[in-house]
This record gives sequence, structure tokens and C-alpha cells, in this order.
Amino acid sequence: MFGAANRPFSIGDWLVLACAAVILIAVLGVPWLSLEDGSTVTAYNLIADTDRELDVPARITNLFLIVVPVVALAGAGLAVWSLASPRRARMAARLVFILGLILVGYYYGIFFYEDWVNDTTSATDYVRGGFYLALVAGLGLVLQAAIPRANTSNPSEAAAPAVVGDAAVLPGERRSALALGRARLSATVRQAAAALQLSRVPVLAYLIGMFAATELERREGQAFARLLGFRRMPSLFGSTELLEPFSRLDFSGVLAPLFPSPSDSFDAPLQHSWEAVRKLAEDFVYALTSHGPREPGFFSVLLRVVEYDLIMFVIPVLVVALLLRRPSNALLVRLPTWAGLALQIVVLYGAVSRWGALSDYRELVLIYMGVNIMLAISLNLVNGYMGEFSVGHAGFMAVGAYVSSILTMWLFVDERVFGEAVLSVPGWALTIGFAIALIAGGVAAALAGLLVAFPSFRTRGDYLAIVTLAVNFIVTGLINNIDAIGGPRGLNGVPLWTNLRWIFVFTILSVLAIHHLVSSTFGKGIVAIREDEIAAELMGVHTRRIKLVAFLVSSFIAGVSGGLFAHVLAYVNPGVFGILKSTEALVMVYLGGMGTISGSIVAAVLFTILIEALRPLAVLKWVVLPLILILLMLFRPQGLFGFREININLKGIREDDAPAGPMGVRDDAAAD
Amino acid sequence: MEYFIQQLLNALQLGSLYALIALGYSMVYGVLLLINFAHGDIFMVGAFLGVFGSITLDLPFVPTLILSMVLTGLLGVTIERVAYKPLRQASRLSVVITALGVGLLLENGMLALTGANPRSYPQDFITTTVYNFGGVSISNVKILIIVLAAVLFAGLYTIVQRTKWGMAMRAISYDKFAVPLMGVSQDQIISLTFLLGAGLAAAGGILWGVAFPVLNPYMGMRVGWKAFIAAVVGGIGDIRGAAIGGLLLGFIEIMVPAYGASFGISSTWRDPIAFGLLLIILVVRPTGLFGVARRQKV
Repeated sequence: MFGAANRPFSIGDWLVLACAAVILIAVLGVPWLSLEDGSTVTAYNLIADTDRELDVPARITNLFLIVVPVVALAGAGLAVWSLASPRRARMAARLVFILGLILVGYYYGIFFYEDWVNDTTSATDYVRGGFYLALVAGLGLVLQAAIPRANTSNPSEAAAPAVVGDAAVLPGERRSALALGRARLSATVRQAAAALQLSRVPVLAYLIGMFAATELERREGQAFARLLGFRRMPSLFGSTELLEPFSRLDFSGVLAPLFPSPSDSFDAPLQHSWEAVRKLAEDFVYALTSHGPREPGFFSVLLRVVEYDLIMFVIPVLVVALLLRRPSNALLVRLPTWAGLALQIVVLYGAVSRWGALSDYRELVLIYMGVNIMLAISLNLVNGYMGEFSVGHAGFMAVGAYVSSILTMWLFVDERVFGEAVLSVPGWALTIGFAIALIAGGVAAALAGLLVAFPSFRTRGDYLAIVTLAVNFIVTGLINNIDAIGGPRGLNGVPLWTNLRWIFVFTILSVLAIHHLVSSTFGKGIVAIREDEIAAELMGVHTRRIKLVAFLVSSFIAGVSGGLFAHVLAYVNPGVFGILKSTEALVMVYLGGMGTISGSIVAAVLFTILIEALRPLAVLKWVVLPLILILLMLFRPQGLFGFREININLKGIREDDAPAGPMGVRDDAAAD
Repeated sequence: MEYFIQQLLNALQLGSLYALIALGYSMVYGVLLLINFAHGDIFMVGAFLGVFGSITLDLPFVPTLILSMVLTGLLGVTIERVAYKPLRQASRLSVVITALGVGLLLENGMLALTGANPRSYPQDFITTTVYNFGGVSISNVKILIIVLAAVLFAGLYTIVQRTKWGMAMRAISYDKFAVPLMGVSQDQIISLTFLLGAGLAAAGGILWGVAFPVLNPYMGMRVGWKAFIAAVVGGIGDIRGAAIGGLLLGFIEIMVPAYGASFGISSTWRDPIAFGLLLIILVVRPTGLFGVARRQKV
């Protein structure tokens, strides 16, 4: 279509055209600025207005409104020119890349810096819409610069999609068009990521990027959020705000007329039901599309959230990570393994604590995340690595929560349940006391784990699942019946001692412990039990001992997480640790995938955010969660990771492993 | 003695209800080797459809029962077709987890769509009459529940033991790979199993609503787990075992508070004792009272 080379039009080329079109629309069509008299001005007017005929406000006459559209237009032009021939493509792509960096750098540098120094509301007030369109399209162009064109890259790689492409044209092969598109897209994304060398960036660089992003948010988040129209800073990357518009929907009227309770009567139930459905549909449309400062609808909130996350988190993390790729690699290669690990943990703690320090709610969510991570990885040890099916994990959590709460309340705190503190200790000793109480809770939970471990010698599969379920019910049932610890009323007045530091330390410790366990020779025995218990036994694996240890470790960690959980809730009752909590743990394990620690961690983090995001939906939250679980099982039963791990390259990625081009344009085969 | 007979009747009533629900668990496990964790919530839907029949459509008892059994049976078949059938080849754990999800979806969907008010059947649905036999009082509701449960069980037993369909069901639970080779459609038999199981659960739901007139969307969870214990205690996969297990569980749940009060065991100890019993049975006899151990071949 374009140029002399007779090559297939790749996804990258389509991306170029799309981005160029978006930029053109943004510059020519979308208003960037509204003047005093109410008229609007496009970016083109601003560029063309050399004689200053427009009545542009004084602050806005800075280069910002002119530089951005000019750079965007130049980038778009270059990119389209690059479609003409392969040789120009490479040069143009590099130019676009540089222009894109200028654009992004300009945005973050000048724009934020000026606002910060002048302490005023910012230029974004004037340039919504068009500016963001141009920014996003510009980013798309930068990305496409990294996507290899069909004829510039290695022929063997280009051949694969091309062959499929020919096949798609054949008559009667309709279904494969979609499959082809998907295959091509995923291949392109993979190639682009490889070309950008995202996979060659060590985790340390990403962590530093996260640190930088949180620092940026700490300084600018408040002002920027207000610019975007949020009433306060989005707490969980905007996810809690996202579903807020739907909180007013009321589904309960839909079937209620058909199943009337004794107190209400309906003479025409179907009509009532229909009315409710109609009202619901109206509310739904309103919740989707309304906009305005008071009750913004879903779409407008979504736009703002994407803007916020892109500019506060995604772009800074990527830019910093890419910039620091080489230095952090060099550093990691020189450091011993333990030092590299320690460095990463410290940077992670820096980023997490900085992010969490911005509001109490964030800290709370981080603590829940930690608890959930411990819960998920400990359950994964049994369900994923050992291949048993434990469905009563919350029972161990309950034991840990109760034992540690009783200890801290009885020994260190004056409250109403157990009276005055038995020990009066100075403040520093409380720390040790809390740690001992948590460990004691873990040990007690491990003892409860014996209730599962011993039956596991004789039964497995479904019947063992039933045993774990029974243990969960027995634990909560017993707690319900012991009046000294509150029975069904629960235990009130647990000291609020869990903070970010505690949860971070214990989460890291349990992740390390599980990692070392499963990667040891002993851990190979655990996996052997999963694969074939009888064969493992024949090969000399001591299955009983291994099962015992695995159940003990798993319930110990669950117990500790329960103790930490109790000391952040300040109130525990047996209902908290019912079958629903166990189901949550299962969801996290299967969302992340079995037999993978990193999967469980990612799933726990996502799940915690999801739970918080669904909070505005009230009852519907527990409709959406099982739905996600079912769809996950139907379409991706292996979970997000499924027996794979993220490599955190503690020793760095050696440069000599594979020499890579400076720009990541794939003209060498070695980057595979 | 009167006290004992009185309690025995209560135990029979509760046990029959548990047995009706446990049958569904057992049949599905026998055919698919799947613990259908959604079964308790299917029971709940059956009870709610009873409200639909008796109040909204203003039907008397028997038509309501039949309506609810049919609709709930169809629901069971639909759930199997939509959620479980695509996973026939997947690992068994993913099916079990899907079943957990379906159960949560049913109960919370019901709560979201109908609101939180508790439901009950109308006064004239079954007019309670109490007969007195020398100090033992027995209501017609109790008789109805015990007799109807027995009749339904007998009917199911006949179907499973005497008909071709029943033979196919037993054959599938014996060897599910050989049965399709004999020209029997596996899918049809599985659907039939879900239809029967869900229908019995619906009958159990309506009888439960008559006996304990507070219906809410979460009723299925508690009762479902209990019935599940009953099925396991009896040996899951065997319908006689499910019936015996249900009666046994009802007996324990009634007799423990009835005679344990003097030892300081109140009715709140029912759950721990029932589950403790489950644990002991599983440790001593891992396949339940009637279950046959399948030897694992190496």
C-alpha cells in the first residue's frame, strides 16, 4: 500500500496511522482552550496565531500550548513518512522516539515544575481533552517506534504472521481471521516488549521507578487530583472511585414482587417487577453517562482515573525503569545475592510506605494486602505445591487470631474482658511481646493443623477437603461456645498494634520462608507428592513427614496472618473466619495460579484492590466475585501464572547474555 | 419415655429433610465425582419458588411442590450445562471451585434481586393440626414431612434400581469410560441426575419452609453443609448411605441438646459435635458408612 517494498501492512503500521489520525483530530478538531468570551480555540489556532490576535490569557502564552501540538504534529508526520520505505522507517522511528521523549519530558518537567513553583492551578484546566488525546497518541507513536516492521526485522520472524495472513484469505476460513488478529496482536505486543527491553529490566529498576512514582504523587498528587476534578486524591489508583456511580443502583426490586415477604403485598407483581427493571435501566444509563462535578458517571470517572494513573504511575515507572536498566544491572552484578535482595526489599519498603503514608485508608488496605498475601501463599503450599485440596484455611487463621489477641489483651493491655494487664512492661518490650504473641498464635494454629495433617495420611482428594472444611467449622463452632472469650459476640478491645512495618516484615519473612521451603530438596518432595504420591513413596520420599511439615508450616503462617489481622480490626468474632474467608483464600490461590508464589502475591494484591473497589456495590460485591471465579475457571483454569514464577533477577541481567541495539529496533536475532 | 418418643419424632423430621438434600449431593458425586457445593443453594431456590407458587400464584400445596420441583430441577440442569459441562475434561478441583462460585452466586444473586426481608409461606398453605397420643403430640406437618420424604426416597430408589435410566446412572458411576461405548449418552444421564437431585432438594426446601417458617437467601448455606456431612457420613455416592446419614445427623442434632442440657451442653454445641463426628468417621472409615474404597492402581 505504502512505499516500494511489497510488504504486508503490519499492526505497527496501523498503529501509526491511528495515532497520526488521533493527533490530527486532537490538534485540528478538539478545543484546547476556552476564551473569556466563551469561544473555544483549537491547537491549530494557537500554532497559527503568530500575530497574537487571540485573546489568550497571559499565563497560557507560554510555549506549552504551542510546543506540544507542534511536537505532536511533527511526530505524526515523521511516523507516517516512515511508512514509505524500510530505510526511512528506522530513522523516522528513532526521531519519533526522541520527539516523544521531549514531549513527555516537557510535560513532566515544565508543566509540573511551573505549577509547583507558582502554586497556582495549572494549565490542564485549559487543555483537557485535546492535550490528553495528543499525549496518548504521542505515546502510541513512541511505542510503535519500538515495534519492528515486517520487512525491517528478521525475515524468519516476519514470516510467521505473514504465512498465517495468507491462510486467512483463503475462502471458508472465516474463524481464523479473529484468531489471526489475536495471534498477530500478541506477537506484536511481545515483540514490542522485547524491543523496548522491558523484560531485560531488572526488578530493582521497576522498584526504583515505583519509588519515584510515589514520590511524584506525594508532591503533586493532591494538586493534580483536584485539577482532574476529584474531590480528594484517588486512594487505590482510582479503583475505589470507579464503581462509585453504581452504588445507587437498587436491584432488590426486580424479583421481590415475585417472592413477596409477609409484610408487603403486590396486586400486580409482574408490573411491579417490570417497573423496577425499567427504573434500574434508567439509573444504569445515568450512572454510566452522567457527568458533572457532583455525581460524575462511570465514563467520566474512568477517563479521569486513566489520566491520573497514566501520568502519576505508568509513565514515570516505565521511564525510570528504562533509564535505570543499565546502572541497576551493573549494581546487581557486583553485589552479593543477599545484598541485592536486601536492597530490593528496602526500596520496596520505601515505595510502599511512601504510598501508604498518604492516607490511613491506604495503610489499612496495605495491611489487608499483607494478610492476604500470607494467607494465599500458605494455602498455595498445600493446594498448589502439594496438590491437596484444603478448603478450610480460615480456621487456622481464627486460631492464630484468637490466641494472639487473648495473649496481648491478657498480658499487656487494660481492658474489660480480661481486666488489667498482668504484666506491666515498658514500651519497647511491648514490641517483643507482640511478636511473641503472634508466634504463639502461629504455633497454636499449627497445632490445629495437626487435625488436618493426621487424617491426610489416610485420606486424600475430596475426603481430605471435607476434613479441612470440618476443621474450619469445628474451630469457629468451638469459639462460638466458649463464653470466656466472648462466644458469638466476639472479642472486643484487641489493641491496634499492627502497622505497616509489622505486616511488611512478616509478609517478607513468610514469602522467603515458603520460597526456601519449596526450592529445597524437601520442597521437591512436596511437589513429588502432588505428581504421584505412591511413586514418590516408592522413590524413598518420606511422604508422611513431608505432609506433616507442609501442613504445619501452612497453618503456622495462616495463624500469624490471623494474629496480624486481629490486631488491625481491633475486634474479632468467629463469623469473620467462616467459610467465606476460606473461599476468599481459595479465590486468591486459583486467581494467581497453583504452585507459584509470585502468582499468589500478585493475585492477593489484585484481589484486595478488587474487594475495595467493589465496596460501593454492597450486596452485588458477592455476586461479582463468584462470577469472576467461575469465568476464571471456565476460561483460564491455570490462573494468571500457573506454575510459573516472576524472575526477580537478583544477580542482575548480564549485558553479555545478549547484546541489544540501542533503540531496541530488532535488527539482530540475538535479542530473542 | 414420652419425652424420648417426642424427640425421636423431631429427629425423624429433621433427619428426613437432611436426607432429601443429601441425596442430591450423593447422586451427583456418584455420577460425576463432583462435590456440588451449589446444592445447598439450589435447595434455597426451591424454597423460594415455593413462595412464588403459594403467594404470587396462589396455588395450594401439591401444585406448588410440583412446580417448584420442576423449575428447580431445570435450574439444576442449566447450572450443569453452563458451568460444569465445559469443565468435564479439566482438573476436578476447578469444577469444585466453580461449584463453590455457583453457590455463592445463587445466594448472593437472590439476596441482591429480592432484598433482605425474610419470607414465609401463607397461613393457609398447610393448616397445622396437633394430635395427642398419650402425652406425645404430633402435628400433621411432621407426619407429612416424614411420609413424603419416605415416598420420594422410595421413588428415587426405584428409579435408580429398577429402570434403564437408573441402570445407566449406576453404570456411569462404576465406569464412566465404558458407558458411552455401550451407546448410552453420558450427557443425558448427567442431566437426569441433576434434574432428580435438584428436584428432591426443592421438595426438601418447601418442606423445610413449612417446618421452620423463616426463609432467607442464606438458608441454603447452613443446611447445605449439614446435608453434605450427612452424605459423607453415609458414604458419598450411595443413595442409601445418604438417607441413613441424614437420619443419623438429625438424630444427633436433636438428641444432643435434648439430653445434653443436664451436662451443660446447650444447643449451640450442635455444630461442633456434628462436624466432630464427621471428622471421626472420616478418620476411622474414610469412605463413610456405606462407601466402598476404590483401590488406587499404580
